[in-house]
Amino acid sequence: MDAGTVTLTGFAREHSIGLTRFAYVLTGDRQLAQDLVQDCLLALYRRFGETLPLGAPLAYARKTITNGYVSRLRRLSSAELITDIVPDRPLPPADSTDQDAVWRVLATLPQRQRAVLVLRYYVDLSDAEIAQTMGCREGTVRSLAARAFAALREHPALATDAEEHQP
Amino acid sequence: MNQEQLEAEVRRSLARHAATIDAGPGWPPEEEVLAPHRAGRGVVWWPIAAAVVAVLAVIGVVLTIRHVASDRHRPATPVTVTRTACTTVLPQQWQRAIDAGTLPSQMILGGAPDGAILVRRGVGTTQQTVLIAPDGSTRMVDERPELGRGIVEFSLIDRKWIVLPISSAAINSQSVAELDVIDRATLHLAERIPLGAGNHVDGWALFSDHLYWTESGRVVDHDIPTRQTRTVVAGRAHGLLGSPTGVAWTDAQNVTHPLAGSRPDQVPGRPGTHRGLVSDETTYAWLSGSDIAWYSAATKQTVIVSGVAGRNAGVTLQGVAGPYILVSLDTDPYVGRIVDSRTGAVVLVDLVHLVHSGNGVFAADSLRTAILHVDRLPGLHC
Repeated sequence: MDAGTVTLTGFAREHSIGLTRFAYVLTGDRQLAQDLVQDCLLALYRRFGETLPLGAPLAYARKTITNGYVSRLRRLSSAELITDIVPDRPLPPADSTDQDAVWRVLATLPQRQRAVLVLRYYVDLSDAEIAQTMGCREGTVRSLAARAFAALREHPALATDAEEHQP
Repeated sequence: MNQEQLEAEVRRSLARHAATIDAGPGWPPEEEVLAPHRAGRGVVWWPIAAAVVAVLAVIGVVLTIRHVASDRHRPATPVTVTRTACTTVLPQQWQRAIDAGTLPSQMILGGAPDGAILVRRGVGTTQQTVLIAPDGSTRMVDERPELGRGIVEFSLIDRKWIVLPISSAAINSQSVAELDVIDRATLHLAERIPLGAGNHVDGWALFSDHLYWTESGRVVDHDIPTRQTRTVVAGRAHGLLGSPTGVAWTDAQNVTHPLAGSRPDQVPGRPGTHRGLVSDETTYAWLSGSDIAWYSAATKQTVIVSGVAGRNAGVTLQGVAGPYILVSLDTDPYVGRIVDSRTGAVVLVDLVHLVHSGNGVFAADSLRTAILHVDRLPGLHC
């Protein structure tokens, strides 16, 4: 896409569902996913208006959603940044009845670890691209991924699941 | 299950759940949603500017005449100084301090007014919560398995207490299951406060021996020394705002209601409210139009620094530590700016998201996580 030729309305029409899917696997929460995507579109509108002068608006949107998710608890903790906006509704729990062990373990991971797995295995980004999206170093991405996999391997639910899937 | 199989499982799980979403939010939203986000389009500013200039000119003439006519001795009054920002290269001493203060693979959880910083680090399959004193010495506050017993979330510290919100590991790391109150002097657990099952706790604040949290819309006030708990707002709160000088809650219309101390948008001893106010207890910074204002409670001096960012750059004040202000811009998400209010000098740093500032310390992260003792560094000059 050429910079300056994308309208926000067109972008939203084309990518709203895809971004919401991305936000859902990132958060495990359908309502929060909708909110993050809506916030992202509003942020794009606030900054650029109706025409997006961006070379890669989808990457920009993913970055905004990822940062919104990762920084969410920090904003809510209200320890220092007193001007941030607090959420307007409580979070429902993740899909706790879900039978997918991997999905259940993902819900227990710290946000940044989960974000790395989603960006690597759902969006198929390289570690360098993930680092750019999350605003960290490649080494941090690899470290977060390693810790996430360690958690996955050690979690009892997945261990059971793994045994069930053994040939 | 080997690594390859595990990766395939993760990929399958994510794809399967993503496919259950078949709609996204509509765009454009209703006009009333969109209107607050429209950036000043269609406003004709020159008549307003002309009127302001005319009023200021009249005031200036009147004040000048009164000053000339007065023969009384007047005591010196606090002065507001205006400085223009100038960007300079990050001094090597600053870069070395950032490098030395970098905490690899650690996460800053909070900080105390005296500059002590609480961090979480992973050691093998264990997560440790460690308090780093201003002199660099460390003390273990909490240790638990990486999984299975919850995760320590962004925490609260003052001079007497440390409060660790422990997220529920079983359901979702964003729901807090208990608040552990720790005596900071002894690091002994003073009290473990279990939170109602099924209730959602999404804000917590510590002020003057009281711990506040929001739980499914109600605001709870817990007196730590007496262990008395009472509901101070029932079912109407949408958020909790904590600052070094007070605690307040916000309602559905985002109106702020003070609970204790001063309002989070007020500087003690100064009139009016202050947009984007940040404080380290002794100094304050806020947004004044497109400028940044800095104020010292000790000297009562106010400094206005103009030109740190363009008019529409989207400035967020992350924190203030003594004369320094950490600023982030929407247009530059991975680079922070430290402003020296004494000179207007600005340097770019790879620290953006402040977790804590106090007693000459910035504890922040972005491309790196670091504790920076700005009070031990030479001032910035252009």
